[in-house]
Parts: sequence; C-alpha cells; structure tokens
Amino acid sequence: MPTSESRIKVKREGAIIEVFFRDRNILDEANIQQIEEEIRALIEAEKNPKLLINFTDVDHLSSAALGKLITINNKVRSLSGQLKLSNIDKQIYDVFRITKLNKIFDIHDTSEQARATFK
Amino acid sequence: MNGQRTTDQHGDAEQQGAIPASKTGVEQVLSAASKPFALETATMHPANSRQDILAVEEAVLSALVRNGYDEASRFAIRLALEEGIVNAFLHGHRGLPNETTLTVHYAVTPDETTLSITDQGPGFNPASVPDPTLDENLELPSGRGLMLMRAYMNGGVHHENGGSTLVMKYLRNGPSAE
Repeated sequence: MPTSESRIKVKREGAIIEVFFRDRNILDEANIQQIEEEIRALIEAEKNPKLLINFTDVDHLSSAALGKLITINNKVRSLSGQLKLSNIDKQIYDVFRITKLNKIFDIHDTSEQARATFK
Repeated sequence: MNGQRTTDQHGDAEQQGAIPASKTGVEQVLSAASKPFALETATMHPANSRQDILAVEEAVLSALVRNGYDEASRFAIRLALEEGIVNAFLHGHRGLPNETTLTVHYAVTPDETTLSITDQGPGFNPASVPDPTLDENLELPSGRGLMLMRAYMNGGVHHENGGSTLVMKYLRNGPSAE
C-alpha cells in the first residue's frame, strides 16, 4: 500500500467489493497509478473477485484512467472474477462510448442494478 | 512554473473601462450587446507537474466561463487540453527531464477556442498512432488521447512543426462529440 492517503473507499457486502473514488477528477498519473495498486491489492486476495466500481461524484476521467480500468479488467478476468461499473455521469459515459469501451465494460446505471447481475 | 503566464487581452470593454459604473441598466445591456469582439489569449509554459497542468487548465476554464461557454463545452475543451498536455509530456518529452516546459497557447472568443501545445521533442507522425476503436485494439491500455481530442474538438485537430505542435479548435456552435 502506498504511504500516501488512500484514493478509494471500499464497501464490502457479501462477496461484492464496491469501490468509490475520493477524487472528482481522475486525471493525475500518480493518483491513477495509486488507485490501480489499491484495487489490485483488494482483488488479489480474492478467489473469484466480484468487483463493482462506482463512479458517483466523478466529474472528469482521462484516457490514462481508461487505460488503467482496462488493466484492472484484465486482472479480474485472470482471477476468474467479474467487474462491473455503475453510476457513470452522462458526460463520462460519452467518453466510454466514443472510445467504444462501453463494449468491453459491463456498465449499469445504478449500484443496485449492477449488484443484481453478479453471478 | 518556468515562465510566467502572459496575458494579452483585446477588445475587453470592461477591462478597458469602457462601461462606466454610472450607466443605467438599459445602457449596460446595449453596451454588452454591442461589445466588440472579445478575445482572451495567453501563452503558458507548464513543466511536467500536476500543479502546472492544473494552472493551465484553470486559466483556460476561467476564460471559457467569462466567455459564456456551457458545462458541456467546458468539459470537452478541458478533456482535450488534459489529453494534449499529458500526451506531449509522455510522448513528445519522453526521456527529457520533468522540468522541460511545453508552450501552451490559448485563444478564447465567445464563438471558438483554439489551443496549441508545442513540445521540445523530436516530433512524431500522427498517422503512426493505431485506431484504438478497432476491435483488435480495444483492450490496449493506451492510445486513446488523440482520438478523444479529435472527437471533442469539433473545429479540427492537426499537427504542425513535424508533429511537435498540436493545434486544436472548438466551435461553440459546432457538432457535439460523436
């Protein structure tokens, strides 16, 4: 775990690990790197991780952050887990749509809807 | 930041004191309507630090707010600026010290915004960047910055100076990002 303050909040309910961001803007390379490391540490301890990333209150997201989400998605798959995203603001959803990453990620409007689809 | 922000404002009636405070409301509305073409332009020299990048973004965002750009326009321009600056440091300045500065120029009018970012690197061929939206490239962790800039800067994105200068334009009444 990095020595600096955590950049995420974690809520566990049953087998589902729900992650929230502490920052409204997820742009800074160093922060993004830290977020990835923190999430990696969470899921590596699990057998078939059920990870839900909740984007509530996130206003800006850079392509560097998208890249890290792909890395996390690959990691989850390698652990035979599932990754879902929820509560993505319309403007940020457009970024996923333009980059066609909405085809890769399992995106839901709300956290409840996402939770209901874990197998 | 190495190099101070230099501001060169033209036609800003308020700054030049052209609207006396004693004017009536009606006259003020008329003055605003007939306000000359307003241009806010500045050149900044950020080094590769989050603090410097934020200073540039905040300067541009403030100019956009003063020129009446809505939230969606500000989102688009800020995203393109972020991607452009980060790309310039990451690729243009690869191997150079973090202190090596970029030259970022912006020009904001009520109708359009032009951004140019010049790095001190050797340049590159934009055609060499693979299309990140092709199925075979969808899972590559990088390569989306340029396409996002092209999607959001609806007035066009091009390179000059052998690829070391990126110029992009946003038209206030142009199409939304597709």
